[in-house]
Amino acid sequence: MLNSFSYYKPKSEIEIIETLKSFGDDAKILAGGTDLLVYMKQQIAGPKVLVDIKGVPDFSKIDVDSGGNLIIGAAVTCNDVVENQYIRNHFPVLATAAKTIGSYQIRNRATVVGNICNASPAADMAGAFLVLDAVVIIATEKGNREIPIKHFFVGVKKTSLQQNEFVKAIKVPADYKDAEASYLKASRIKGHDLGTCNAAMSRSKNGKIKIAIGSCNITPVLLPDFDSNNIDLANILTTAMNSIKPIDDLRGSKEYRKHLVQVFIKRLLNGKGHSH
Amino acid sequence: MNSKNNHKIIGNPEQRVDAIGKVTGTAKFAEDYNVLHQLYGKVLRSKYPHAKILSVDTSKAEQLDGVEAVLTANDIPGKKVFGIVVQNQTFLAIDKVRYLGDGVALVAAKTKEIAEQAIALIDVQYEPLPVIADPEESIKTDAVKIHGDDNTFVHHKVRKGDIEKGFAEADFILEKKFKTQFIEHSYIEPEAVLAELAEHGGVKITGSVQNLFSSRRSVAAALNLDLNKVQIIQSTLGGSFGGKDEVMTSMCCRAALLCLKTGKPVKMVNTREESMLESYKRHPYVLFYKWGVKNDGSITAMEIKCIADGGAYASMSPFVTWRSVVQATGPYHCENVKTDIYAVYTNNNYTGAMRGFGSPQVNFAIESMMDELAEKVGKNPIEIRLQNGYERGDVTATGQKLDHNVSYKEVLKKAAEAINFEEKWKQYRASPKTPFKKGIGLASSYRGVSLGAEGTDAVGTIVSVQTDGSVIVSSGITDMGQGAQTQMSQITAEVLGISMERIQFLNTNTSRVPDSGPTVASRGTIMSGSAAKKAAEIVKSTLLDVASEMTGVALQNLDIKNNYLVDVSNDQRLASFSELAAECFNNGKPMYGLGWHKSPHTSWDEEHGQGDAYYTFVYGTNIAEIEVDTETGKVNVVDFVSAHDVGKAINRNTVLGQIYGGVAMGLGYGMLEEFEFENGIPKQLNFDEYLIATAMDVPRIKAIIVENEDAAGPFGAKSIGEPATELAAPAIVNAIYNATGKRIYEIPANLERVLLGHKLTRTGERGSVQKEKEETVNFDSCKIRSTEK
Repeated sequence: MLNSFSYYKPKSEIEIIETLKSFGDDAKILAGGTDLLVYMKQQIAGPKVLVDIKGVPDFSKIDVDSGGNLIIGAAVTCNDVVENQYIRNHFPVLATAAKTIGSYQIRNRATVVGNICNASPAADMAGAFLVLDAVVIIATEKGNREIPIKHFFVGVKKTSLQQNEFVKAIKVPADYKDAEASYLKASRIKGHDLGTCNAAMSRSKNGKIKIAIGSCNITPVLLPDFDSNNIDLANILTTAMNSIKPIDDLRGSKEYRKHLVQVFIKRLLNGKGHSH
Repeated sequence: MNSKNNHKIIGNPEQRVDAIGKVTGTAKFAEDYNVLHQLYGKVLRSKYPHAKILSVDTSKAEQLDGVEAVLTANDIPGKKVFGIVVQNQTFLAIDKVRYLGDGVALVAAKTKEIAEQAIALIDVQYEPLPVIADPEESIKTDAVKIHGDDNTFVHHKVRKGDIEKGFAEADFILEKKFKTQFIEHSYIEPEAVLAELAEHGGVKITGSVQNLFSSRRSVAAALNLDLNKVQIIQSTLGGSFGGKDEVMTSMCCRAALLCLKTGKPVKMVNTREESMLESYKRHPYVLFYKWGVKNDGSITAMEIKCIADGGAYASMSPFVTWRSVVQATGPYHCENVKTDIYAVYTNNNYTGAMRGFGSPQVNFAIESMMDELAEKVGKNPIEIRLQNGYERGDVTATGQKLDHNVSYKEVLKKAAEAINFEEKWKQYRASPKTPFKKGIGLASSYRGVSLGAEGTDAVGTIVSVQTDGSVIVSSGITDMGQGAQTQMSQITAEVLGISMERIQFLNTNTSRVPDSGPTVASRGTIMSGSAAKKAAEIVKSTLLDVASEMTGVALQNLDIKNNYLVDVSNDQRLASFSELAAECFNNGKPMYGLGWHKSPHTSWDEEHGQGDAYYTFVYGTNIAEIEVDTETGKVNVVDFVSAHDVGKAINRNTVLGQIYGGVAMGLGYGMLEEFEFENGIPKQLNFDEYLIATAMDVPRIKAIIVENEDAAGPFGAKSIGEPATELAAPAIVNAIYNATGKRIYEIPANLERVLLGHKLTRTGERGSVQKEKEETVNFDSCKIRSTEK
């Protein structure tokens, strides 16, 4: 059962910050609400105030800035990303990953930034953004700050966001436009399931391979860069195994997860990164 | 004899009579019923899977503002326990709790919130007892006892021939152990009722109830009321699949008790979590199959032992396991059979009726054994089944001579031809191992129709023609979504010679229709349809008598066709059906018919397990074509054939719906679903972790409807509801073997079992939660996940 709460829908970034400031810990940011409302119903979260960020028009935009970087606003839904032609042409791994989140109906509500902010170890967007070296744009009282996404996740459902801050957008550097990148996810059913584990990979134009692994540690994990001109599979697999600490849960055992990670890395490197 | 061409309505894909209400939202499900001044009832459930109750202090809860009643078992005026065979299930715990879903106390309050607060204020002191979680432990003599002095409460036997002699004749022995899992019914509508004081004493309960008459019997006994003072009205049901029996009896009784105590209407609605925590499941079985076999593939002996986990209460276990014992050999010849099936108590959720009712478990074992046998003697799955399968005139393991059209082989062959089974089977098993491998597998069965020798099997259906020629039909058989109302309407329309639009179907009401037993065992169409046919024939006979007097045309020349009274000698229309109805009324003749249908004779000798168990049988075959990712264990079902002899499809679309839905459920049983416990504590209470097949997981399905009309059913119709779901799992498991050469002995065949052949140990927590905090189960609020800040 939901506890009662007040609802605010500010029209600007400043107003959002002001609202957050006046309610402090009692306030939670609401975007799609597909995670938050479930937590509220289960009494895992009980915010007294919801601050809906969908009132700021810019937040619903997918843009390319003057430097050619892709900017995805905080209210952009997963289906917006799946259907966006520019993303499909130039950053297809984002569409691939977004399409694996929840069901179609959930993807109509859920935002890609929300998927990051929820900071689940299984977050489908995390791996794709990690291997594209994305940057999280954070609105604060003193203006915007940017941090690399690899520093954004700090624990299970914990991010480096500070009080009175919120994520307004995520930026994917122009360097990764048209870069080879792919995403694999193991799930028990084809519909809405959290990944038993997932893995993403990119091969940048300057010869770097990035690999990210989800559902295998307290945060999504980005492995150190590898040299794409000199692939040492054994070393990559060893590095991966040393970087993850999977557990046993309903979705899979740790041994099975370790096995899957190795299969996925091999498939990603072999260009067989199609899901399911 | 196929008389399809003579039928106007039978066999047509008529629109369901409940379709418009359901798609426009005017259908009323139990939660949609609300009345002024209603209170909200809530249940305090157990804190332990097994414990003595030392004390219950309700004083604080009673003092809370807005609370109108707090009740325990002491407040039940009549019989405090219920059960279809063994009466040991409590509405509210007496001295002891036996599983986590046991209710201990009840609250009625002005709002749901107050009710929940009051529940939290009830102080129960427990003395935890050792938990019996494993049926193989429970059956041991030194195990802690859950009821009385024996945990084994069912032992069914079948004895035929001499298995010692049979095994001596065998060239080799095939012996395997299989295991199946708990399954949640997953009806989309959780349990809900509204209980009101009836106008002239007693109670009126409207709710999501499957078996209204058995629920009524238990509620009346508990409340010390006569049956005529307890009226249960079926709301439109959002699914049941066998699941809304005892759990609804309990809810009806609790709501009625609160209603009688407070004098106010009481609404009770389970959340999904409460539903999964309290409701009963499909039985997990441990199955030991030992066959003596000759090198030519014939079977000389079958020794079968199964242990069913009955959970905390007896519920339907005696009947579920009885179907298993009758069907445990499959439709295969064997002169020497010894079958023993036991049901034992544990501190898991109690297990009861679920679509299939004891057949999905044995079918998984039988059909796996059959494929292993084929492999051992160098035959293919079709050859081995054609060699051993039943034909008309054959005698079953229970000594029953099959004297209807035994279409086992016809159905099997039709299914195989539809997907080119034999060629694919040969090709896939010979193909080299690659990361993605194809496989094909089949499973087939015979299944007894209706209740059989379980008990009295009779149904009443009422047809009432109105003075304007419209018609009202009602029955003691409920529609839970399977289409019973549409079947009965079609049969009524066919007999009366009218169109479907004239018929209005009423939901079942225990005070207005005769006790027709439960809506179970795929007996809806064959039983209530037969009763509808008789009811309509009674009314038609009156109408034609009146017509003959009215028109002067001889009775034998009169009929009703396309809503008109016609003279069949010259095909002339004499009057409209409406005019005929008005005339009949004006003549003071009854246009009301109660059709009563009692099943043909069945018999059972419990000691030797011999008898004519069912009055007729149906035959089915499923074939699954799959692709296995051999590196991850992922199985993708790419194609599917489901063939069934239904006798006669009254409504083709309804039959197809049953087949498609049955395959989806069977696929979940085979590959996905498992209601897991850890020492009596469920590991999942919602669909985020209990996974059923989604639309994306259900493959293309080719349904083959075979129609060998059976004298036992209306227009030849038999059954499809349960046959549709009892074969997909073994078909998929056999396909996995065909693809990988690995056999799975424990379902579901999930990713790890397919990859490794076994499941690795897991804990019940979602990974993210487990890492965050050590605390695990929050019993009081019936949440399985720990609360992160």
